[in-house]
Order: sequence, then structure tokens, then C-alpha cells
Amino acid sequence: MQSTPQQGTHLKVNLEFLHTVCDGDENFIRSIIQTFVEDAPHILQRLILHAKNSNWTEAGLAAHQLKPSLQFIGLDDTLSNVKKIERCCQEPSEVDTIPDLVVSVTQDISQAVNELQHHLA
Amino acid sequence: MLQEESIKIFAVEDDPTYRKFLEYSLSLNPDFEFHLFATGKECLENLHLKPSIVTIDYSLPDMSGQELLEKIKSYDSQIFVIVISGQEDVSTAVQLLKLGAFDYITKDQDTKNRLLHAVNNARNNLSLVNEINQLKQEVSQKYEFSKSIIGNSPAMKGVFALLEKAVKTNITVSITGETGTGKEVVAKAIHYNSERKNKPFVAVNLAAIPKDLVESELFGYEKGAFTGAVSRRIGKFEEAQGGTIFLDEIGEMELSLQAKLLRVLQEREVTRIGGNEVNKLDVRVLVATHRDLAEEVKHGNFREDLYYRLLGLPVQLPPLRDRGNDIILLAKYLLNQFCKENNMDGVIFSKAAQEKLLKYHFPGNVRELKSIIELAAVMAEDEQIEADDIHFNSIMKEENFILEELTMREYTFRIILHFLKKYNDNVLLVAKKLDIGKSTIYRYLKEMEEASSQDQIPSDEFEPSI
Repeated sequence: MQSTPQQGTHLKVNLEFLHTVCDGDENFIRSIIQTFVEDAPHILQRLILHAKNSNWTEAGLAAHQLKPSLQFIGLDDTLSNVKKIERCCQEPSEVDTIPDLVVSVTQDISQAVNELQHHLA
Repeated sequence: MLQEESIKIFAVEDDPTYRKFLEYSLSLNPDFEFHLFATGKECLENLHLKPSIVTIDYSLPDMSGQELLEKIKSYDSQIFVIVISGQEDVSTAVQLLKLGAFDYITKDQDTKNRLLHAVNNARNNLSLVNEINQLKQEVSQKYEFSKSIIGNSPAMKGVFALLEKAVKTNITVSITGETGTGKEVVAKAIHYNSERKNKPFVAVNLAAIPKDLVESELFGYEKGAFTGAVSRRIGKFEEAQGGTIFLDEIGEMELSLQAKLLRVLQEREVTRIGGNEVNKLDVRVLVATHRDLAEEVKHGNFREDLYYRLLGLPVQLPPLRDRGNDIILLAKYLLNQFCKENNMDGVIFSKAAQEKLLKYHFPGNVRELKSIIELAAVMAEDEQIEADDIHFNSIMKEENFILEELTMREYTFRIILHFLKKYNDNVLLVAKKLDIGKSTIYRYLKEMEEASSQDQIPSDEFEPSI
């Protein structure tokens, strides 16, 4: 498995961080990717649902749970948006920005899952 | 080696990805026996498994990291808690460290290395804590009455009975006895057999501290209290907080300081020199002196009020000469100890050596016996200490000479021999010194020669011992 996306490809993920923390341990890398592919869509669904229902506390919690895996997968921009969602969920005056951020995060994660599924194949 | 022993670690992390990461990081060291938990509740329910280290995520679904930290610490304050957090807020970290967290690690690229480093640091600290506890236990065992105070003479049985009473309460104990009778050993035995045994034992020999420094040693001082006070220093009383202070040679304390000591003992609080802060004390006081304090009070050298304050439970240690067969018990104990410390094979005493020890009156008591035994062990041939290997302190030989209980004739022989040796066999001079006629000396010498030839007086008896 390649440690980082190849130059010129459309890959969103960047596995450099993951490689660094485990000194290139392939089993561990595979296991983290597997966890992301299996868990991230479920957490994302919770985030979408709670945001739709304006249940900001729960939405913030879901956003918080997404952070570690996004960090490992190297989705830095997505991680930044998730952090914004978490912060905005705690500020009633800023909740209006959340729906757009959720859309963006959903697209990123969906694409990343697709890419990583190919990696695992 | 504690370093190589397995160590039990709990890792509490609700995020599955990060839990995997922790599992991976901790599995790198085969000495780590770790358990992973997703909630604070699960962790708390398993604390009976006695983890040495717990790593906790700051944000858990059922409780905050701070709450979990407090609960773990209240369960067992010795557990090392390492907080791993996505929050980079310094104030959060400071707050958690103040609450007793061992380390605070942020979730980033260096987490693995910092976690392993923190766990190793905690493990090293744990080794030190275990070592300290082990040493405390050893010290405690060393000062068990039966191990630290040897003897079964009636005089010592009386002392043991008093010590048993002394350890049950916090009563002040005043220990008196001749030099070398073991006053500090008794003080330590009282401390290490009391409920304060895990707290400090601080011994202060007031005769060994320059008079001008006694006050600052005992009560401490603040920075700038006097020339040379470049920083604050706590005194011996504060050092002994929760434990015992042993004021040895209390009879040597100056009158002016006695008043200050009395105040500290009455108020149970101390104010450092140059300071205003009053520090409450919970310190047990043991004192010792070789002087007769009641006599010192009569002569105005010791305050009467302080005398009564310190008297408490008086323990009078008997001189070794009044302890009969304890001398042999102690001699054997000291000999074994010396042999062990110096990797010597078991050396024993001959009967004659034991008899010689029993005849001596030991003005320096156990301390003197110890030095006599050590020298004898070194001098002994064939792993047996003979009478000739036992050498008494020269400054006391005269008194020892009297204690040997010889006949008048034998004493006279010895005196004449001693003087002859001292004055290079100048019979005229010796006769003058002893105020006897020179013919008397010749007569005794002749008798001595005859007695020696008939083995009436053993040859070694002719050696002057005074």
C-alpha cells in the first residue's frame, strides 16, 4: 500500500501522518483505515441527522467523534471544518453556518471512504 | 529489577480509532499489560484490578476527564494518571496537573512517543515509590523491639514494658542513661513501632550543633531573616511534621532557647525566624540526655516548666554493667552483625573471652562493647575470639584492674611490675614512688619468680594491666 497519494491523482486522503505515528506498520495502517471505512459513515449519518433536527449538542458530539479518524487519514481541510462544526454547535449565534459545513464534510468523507475502499481491495 | 517487571495499564478512550492507536502504541512494549475501556464507568468498575497507570481521554461520553481523574485519585492516590486530550488549552492542562495528573499529552503526531515516554517516567517513579516503601518496611522491621534492642535481663525487661506503653500513645518520652546505652536506638524503636512509623523521624543532637545555630536549625528561617539567610529553610520541627522529633542531649540547650522550645511545645506551632506565618505542628517529641535533668533544674541550668513539659514517660536505660548476661547476648549479636557486614565466616567467642567480657564494667556501654567486639573479630585467629583478643579501652584500665578481684598479693605484684616497667626497672625510684623500702621490692620480685616457676601466677598475669 502506498503511504501517500500519488502525485497528480485526485486522492483526498494523506496517509503520511498515519505512517509517521506507527513507523510504517502496515497492519496498523490497514486496521485504522478499516475502522474509518466502517465507522465514519455511521458517525456522519448521526451528524447529518442531529444537524437537520437542530439538535446541536448531539451534533457537536458527533463532530467531536469524527476528529481522531480524520486526523489519522490526513483529511486536514475536512478536520478543520469538523472542528468549526463542533465550535459552532456550542454558539447559538453561529449555528446557521453548520448546514453548509456538514454538506462539505459529507462530500469529503464519502470520497475518502471510496478511495480507501480501493486501497483495501 | 522493577524496571523489567510487567506493569498494568488502563487506557480509557471512547473513540475506536484512537483506542486502536493506543492499543498499538502500548503493545510495542511487551512489559505493558494493558486493558482498554470505552467509558469512565468501565474503568472505575475495574480499578480493583490495581492498575499502576491509567491513561484517560479528556472528553468521554459519560464523564469528563477531570471527573474521572478525581475519582481514580480518590480510589487510590498512588495510581499515575496520564491525560490524553484533543484540547490544546494550556489552562486545562494546568488544572489537571494541579489535580494530580502525572502528565498531559495532546493528540498529535508525537502522541505515541510522548505517551511511551510518560509511561516510562511513571514506571520509573513507581519503581522509586516501591523502593521507598520497601526501605520503609525494612527500617520498620529493623527497629522492631526484639531486633533492635537485645537483652533479657530484669533491667531490660522493665525497659521493654515501658516501651510497649510508649508506642500506644503520643506521650512525650524522656530517655536517660549513660553515654552509649542506646538512647537513640530506643527513640527510633519507639517511632518505628508507633502509628507514626510511615512519617519522618528527625533526630537532632543539640550538643553537636553550634549554640548560635540551634534556633534556626530547630525552627527554620525566612529568606533575609539574617545575614546569610539567602533562602527560606524549614526547621527540624516542620521537617518532622506528622512524625517524631528526637531531641538528643536536651540538657545541653541554652536557657534562652529553652523558653522558645517551651512555647513551641505548649502551643504546638512554630514561626520561622524572620517570619510571621504560624505553622501548626503535629509532631511527637522524644528527648534524651545523659544528665540528671532534675539536678540541672536545681542548679538553675534547666527550666523547671520545660522539665515537666518534657518529662512525660521517663525511660531510664540501665548501664551495660548492670545487665548481667545481656553483655554476652549483645556481644554475640554485634559479632554476627560485624561478620555479616564484612563477609567473615562465623566467628565465635571462647569461654575465657566471654568471662573476660563479663568481668569488665563497660564505662562506654554498648557503644564501647561494639568497638571492642569489632576489634576482637579482626584480631581473632581460627575463627574464635580468645581472651587475649579482647582489648579494653586504656583510659579505663585502672578501674578494670580493680574489678578483676585479685588477691592483695597479686595486686601488689602487678603494682610493682607496672612501676618497674614505667621507670625502666629503677628499683630505687620505684621504692620512692611507692613509699616502700627497696628490700620490699626485691622480696616481692623473688616471691614472684618463685610463684611463676611453680605456675602459681600465670605468666600473662605478670603483664601490667593498669
